[in-house]
Parts: sequence; C-alpha cells; structure tokens
Amino acid sequence: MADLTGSYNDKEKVENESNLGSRPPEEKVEAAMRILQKSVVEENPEGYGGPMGLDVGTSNIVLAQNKGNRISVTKQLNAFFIIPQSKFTRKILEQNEIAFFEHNKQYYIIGDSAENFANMFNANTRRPMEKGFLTLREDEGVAIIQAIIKTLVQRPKKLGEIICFSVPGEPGWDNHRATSLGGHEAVIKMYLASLGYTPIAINEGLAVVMAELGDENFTGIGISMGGGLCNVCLTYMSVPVIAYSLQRGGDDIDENVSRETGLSATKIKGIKEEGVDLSTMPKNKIGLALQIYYTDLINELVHSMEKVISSSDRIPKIANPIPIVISGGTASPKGFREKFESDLRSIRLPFEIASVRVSKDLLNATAIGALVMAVSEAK
Amino acid sequence: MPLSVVVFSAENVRGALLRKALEKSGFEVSLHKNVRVAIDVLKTKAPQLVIIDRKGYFPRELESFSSLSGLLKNIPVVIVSKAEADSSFTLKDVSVEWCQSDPLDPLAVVAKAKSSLAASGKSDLREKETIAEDLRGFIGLK
Repeated sequence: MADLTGSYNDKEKVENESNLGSRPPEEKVEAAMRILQKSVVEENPEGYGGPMGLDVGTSNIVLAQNKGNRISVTKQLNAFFIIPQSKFTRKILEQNEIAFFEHNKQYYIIGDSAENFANMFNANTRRPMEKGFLTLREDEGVAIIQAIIKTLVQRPKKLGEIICFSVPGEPGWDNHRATSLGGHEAVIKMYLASLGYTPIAINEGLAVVMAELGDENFTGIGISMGGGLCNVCLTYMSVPVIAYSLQRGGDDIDENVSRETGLSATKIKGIKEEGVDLSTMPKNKIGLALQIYYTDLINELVHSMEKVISSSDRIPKIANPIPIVISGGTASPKGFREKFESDLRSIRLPFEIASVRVSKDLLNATAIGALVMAVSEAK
Repeated sequence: MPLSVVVFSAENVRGALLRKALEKSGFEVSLHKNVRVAIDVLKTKAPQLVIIDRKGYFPRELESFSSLSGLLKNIPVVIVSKAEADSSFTLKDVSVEWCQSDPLDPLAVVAKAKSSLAASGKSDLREKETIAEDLRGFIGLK
C-alpha cells in the first residue's frame, strides 16, 4: 500500500487502506532517511536481496540496491542495435559476453554494447522507448526492454521482494501527443511481477524528491530532466500533489542542434557529455546552438510549471517556502541552475520558492529515490 | 495507543494529504472514499474522531452522511468545506467543528482534530496543551 505515499502515480487506491497492521509511518520515514545517509557506489550487481529501485528512463535504465553501508548503482543503456545472424557472429558475441537475443534471423545487441556496435558500424543505436514511454515504432519494443531490464534485474532471492520502478507523468503542457502511461506502466509491472517481485510504480519527479528532500520532510518540487522528457512533481510530505511531464528533453536539444549545425545527433550528444557551459559566451556555432536550445528548454519548463501549477485547484496551503531540486543528465551543464533560477523569477506560483538546487547525483537520483520508496514500503 | 481517525475524502490527493498530516501527528488513520461503506467502517473501526472532506462528493452522497447521526453521537466530527453553514447534510446531536476546504490546509485540519478531541475529553491533548501554554508563558513566548 501506498505511503510515503500511494500508488505513486496519482491513482491512489483509498478504500480500506487504513494502514492498520502495516508499518507505522514514522518507521517508514526513518527507513527512508537511513537510506539517504549512505554513500553511492557504481558497481556490477552481485546478488539480488532486499528492496530495489529501478529508473526506467528513455536513455538509461538504472538499478539501485541497498548493500549494507552503501547504495549500489548499476546502469545499462536503454538501446539496441541489430546485426545479421551467423554462427561466427554468435560465437564472437558469446565469447565477449555481449548481451543479445535472437529474433527473425537477426541478433539484437542490447544495452551498453549496442553503442559500441553502432560506433563500429558508424550508425545510430535504436531505442525501445521514446519520450519516456515504450514506443510502438519498434516491433520488438517490449521484448527489447524486458531483455535490457533482465541484464540488471534477476529473480529475487525472496519471492515478493519490493521493486519500485519509475514512470513518467502524464503530459501536462504540450499535450499534443497521445501517450499511454497506463499501458507503459502495466508492461513493466507485469514483467517485474513475472520475475517474482512486487512492483510499485513511482512518478519520476516524486522519486527525485524522495532522493533529495528528506531533510525538507519530502516537501518540494522534484524535476527530472532526462533524454526524452522532463518530469515535474509537486510533493507535500511525500504525497504527489501534481505530477506531469513536458514532452521535451535532452534528445530534442541534440536533434535541434544537429539540424542547425549539420552534425549528427550522436556527435552533438558526445559534445554535450564532454561538458557544456551556459554561464559564459559561446565560443562557436555549436556552443551557440547548444545555449539557445538549453535556454529554450529551461524557459518552456519553467512556464509549464506556471501554467500547470497555477491552474490547479489541488494545491494545499503551503505556509513556508519550498525547495526545487533538479536531476537528470540534461541538468548537468555549468550555469544550468542559475539560468533556471533566473527564469523562475519571471513566473508566478501560488507559493514561495526557498531555493533551487541541482541534485548531488544527477544520473542516479531517480533510481535512489525509487529505492528509498521501496525500502520504506518493505515490511 | 494512537488515536484512531476515520477520514472520508472523495479526492485521492486531498485524502492522501490529510492522512499524511494526521499520521505525522501520531493518529492512526483509516481513509475512505466511498460513503456507502461509512456505516460498516464506523462500526468496525470505532474511531475517536471522524473527518469529512466535503469537496468532490455528489449531493446524494453528502445526504447519506445525515444518516450517520446515530453512530456519531459520541464521536467528534470535523467537516472540511467551503463554508461553515453547509446545508448539504445535517448531523443531529453531533459535535461538529468546521475547517476551510480551499485551499486545503492539512495542518489546520490536524489542529482542529486535536482541539475537537481535547474538547470532547477523548485525549490527554488538552492537558498537554495547557502544560505547553504554561511553559510558553514561563519562558516569555506568550
């Protein structure tokens, strides 16, 4: 059941949920706070015991596990690359322990290895997800995402172990694209349940709040800025009050800059990952284009917050100023926070903002927040 | 033993906010959306306090709260609604307190719940608050 709270995607089941007999809320909060004090280590998974957090993002899938005095984090690229089938190729793939599966006389290379193959063939990887949701464009989308998740999540040691997985919010601003959050969530949930877990969906923005705002009583706005989209969640004492997604993210910056400069989107992504500085004058055409499209994205995000939050009648009375915390790879450029803060000054919200900060662990915050939720839900 | 509170709220988010704020203040909360289960819930849970968040209920659902008067005779009720004078249902011979619904102020509802319980003598809150008041006076915060 649902608290630190609910079916975290705003569809809380209420009847007969008395919490009587379940874990007391103060114990849940204590369990959550204990997790947040641990250090984060990136490593290969070794055994699957205890609750887990899984960030199912458009670009990456990240697993967070509680391992004694640390949080263990493992990543896999959410991408695939198809090569023709042959006995020789199979042998090479197996010898090199490359994750793949066979379908329609082709090999589907999945995860991090897909990018290596794409580079070798001077081509682009493909993705089973687009804009935060499973894409129907790829015939084998479901099989691919299941295979990628399987490289990270094996069967649990104990049947029914809790795994919290991230889901995007419903489009709340540029709602021109049909999405099926329910369908997307159901597919992931069904697969994790088939492995023997008790899966619980958590909104991405809420996960950021769970990872970052423990000291603020899990109250504030969590924003996850990924490759496919931006997720925003206004949370009050861990209750997701408003959650929505803006259907734009880092990939849009890559595509737009690619169009302006004539370089491939993959190349632009590489340049971005080397480091972007939004606080200084751009040095060349690529730098200028990156600044323009980052600024554009931040501007649209901030204005979406004004529109969605201000028009809601759900906002509780919030007496004290609340923090905003931003996470995700798209928030990594130098000067990002300052630009966001500056744009925030131009809008009106029904409460005061105390501070804007960028997550301590940009790429892992969603998975860590999902883990915090899983631990607090575990009996 | 934590004090038991039954909350009726038609809207998921409002219900979750009320539950969270009450639980944080040490109450044991049973949250319900459907008015049809009210009689069974009140009989089985035997709560010390009932909170009815009026927002989002249909008029006929609100009317059915009137039939609970008998069961609520010795239980204080906090009604969260737009206006204090709410004619959508009547609770006869029931001790009712009112709390503003828009915007929902979970902490104000908790305060109202505490004061209702203290007034009805169902908790030792009144005594604790008196001690706190005395202490505030003593250290000059009053």
